[in-house]
Amino acid sequence: MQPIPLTLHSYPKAILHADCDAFFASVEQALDPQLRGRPVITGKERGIAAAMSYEAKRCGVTRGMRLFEIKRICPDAVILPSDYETYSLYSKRFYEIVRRFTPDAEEYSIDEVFADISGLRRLHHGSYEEIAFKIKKTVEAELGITVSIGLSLTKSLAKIASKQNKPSGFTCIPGYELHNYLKGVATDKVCGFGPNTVNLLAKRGVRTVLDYVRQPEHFAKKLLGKIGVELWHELRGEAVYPIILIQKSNQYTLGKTKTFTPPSNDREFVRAQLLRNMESAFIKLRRHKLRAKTIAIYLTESDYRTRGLHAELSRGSASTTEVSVTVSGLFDHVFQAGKCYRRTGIVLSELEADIEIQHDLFEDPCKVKGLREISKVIDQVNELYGKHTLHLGSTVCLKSFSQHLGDRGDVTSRKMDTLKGENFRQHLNIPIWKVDV
Amino acid sequence: MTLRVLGEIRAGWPSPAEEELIDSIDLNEYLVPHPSQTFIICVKGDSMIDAGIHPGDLAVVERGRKPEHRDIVIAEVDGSWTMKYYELSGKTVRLVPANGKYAVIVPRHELRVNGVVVAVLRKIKK
Repeated sequence: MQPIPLTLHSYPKAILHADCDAFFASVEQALDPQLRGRPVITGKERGIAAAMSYEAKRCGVTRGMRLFEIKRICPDAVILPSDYETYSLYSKRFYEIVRRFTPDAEEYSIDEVFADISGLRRLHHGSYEEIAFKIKKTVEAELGITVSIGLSLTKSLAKIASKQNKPSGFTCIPGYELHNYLKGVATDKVCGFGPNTVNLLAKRGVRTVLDYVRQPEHFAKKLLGKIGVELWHELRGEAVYPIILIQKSNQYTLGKTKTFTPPSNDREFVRAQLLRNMESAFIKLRRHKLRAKTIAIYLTESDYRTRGLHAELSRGSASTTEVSVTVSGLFDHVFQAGKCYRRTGIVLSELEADIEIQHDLFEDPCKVKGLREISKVIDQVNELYGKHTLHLGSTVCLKSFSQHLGDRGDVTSRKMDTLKGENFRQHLNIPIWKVDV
Repeated sequence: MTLRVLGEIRAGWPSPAEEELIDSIDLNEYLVPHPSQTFIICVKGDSMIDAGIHPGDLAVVERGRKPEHRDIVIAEVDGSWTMKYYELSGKTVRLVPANGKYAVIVPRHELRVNGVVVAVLRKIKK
């Protein structure tokens, strides 16, 4: 007996998921031909593998692996500090290429995009498969990295499809093929089914995605609740999750944290590290025209034990100068003499739009206005001369410190080999292609 | 920075200069027409010196663009990278330098044109 299809349609909606392969490592290889075909690992500044090329994966390198272990199992590995600046430029270009084909593109993560290409066949003179393939080829030709593409009826199905045959995969699952395809896909391949859910489903004899969607809807509801039902529809080809075009603008918290090596027990140095994070957080806060009402700080010791404190301000503030007093006070409560610290961090929450000032009863409105003026000047100077040019006196001891001393202190070539007219912080927003010509 | 192409002004006559302001092009658009596929290469060699490309110059290169006859291209020939004129004669491709010291390259096994040079920058002062 022929199994019954889930639907007879091909693409009632055409949703694609594009996922760059080993993104950070691929960008490094694309920009430096000498790295092609070699095991490349990024994350040197963190001491662990953040991303690795397929050559490195074949050597057995996994995400999060310590660098000394990598050197042991893969002696000819090229280990690089992460160049987030260049990865972000690449990411933007990747989104831009997908948007050339359809305006309905969701920036799902730095290296992933969901796109709705329904109704675009006439515009692009081709089938949905052909459009998806053209997107793949364009990314590969213009950026020099490979991308895996999945095309199907919903986001959940497209994501399953893109994971097949990575790297450089291309998998299209039209509606009438769903039942054939999903019988070979285990439930742990579904984005949203964690190990617990997979085990729970297995206890009911549900091992493949087809098993799951062949169950009645109330089975999904009873066992897994609302999300179970949503995925049940998605995996049958009925779109529940929309393509989200605008990134959420109302951020609820904003944090900055930085590790430094070697760990330090110098009170003023650790304080300066924290205040620098505060400065960075407030620069970002002001850029988004927000102010914060709650401020939390934390310090991490060399054995990763972390302690913190938070304070609530009498009104929201966006002034570095004003809040530095509070942060410094919190720091003195948390810092313990004799202990070694390796990381500091700050989290701003209860964010609100920075519009009218509401003065509290006991403060001097002129002083508050003055603080706003100071913030403005800080931002303008830094805009002109580079971030942190104008900074708090307490962070002056960081000036010559390169965040990590020793091996992990290596900075990216983009920061070392600046072009004429560039400085350490500000670079041309075009990637440098390291070709020897 | 913006480059403005202004209309013609005649001395002695009242000139409605603002009305004559023709559409202006940003220096970015002028030098980088397709930003999402543009890369910078720092030139090291002197094989294109007669084309005005000196060591230390920045070449603005478009990746994924189809080369035309006499374009300056970034190519991978038999395993090594080079910047040369791309010359088509019939079905054969030659890579021609702009410096008498270097020989014309005729690819033996493999030729991959990876980019086309669209502009060359030389910053004189910081």
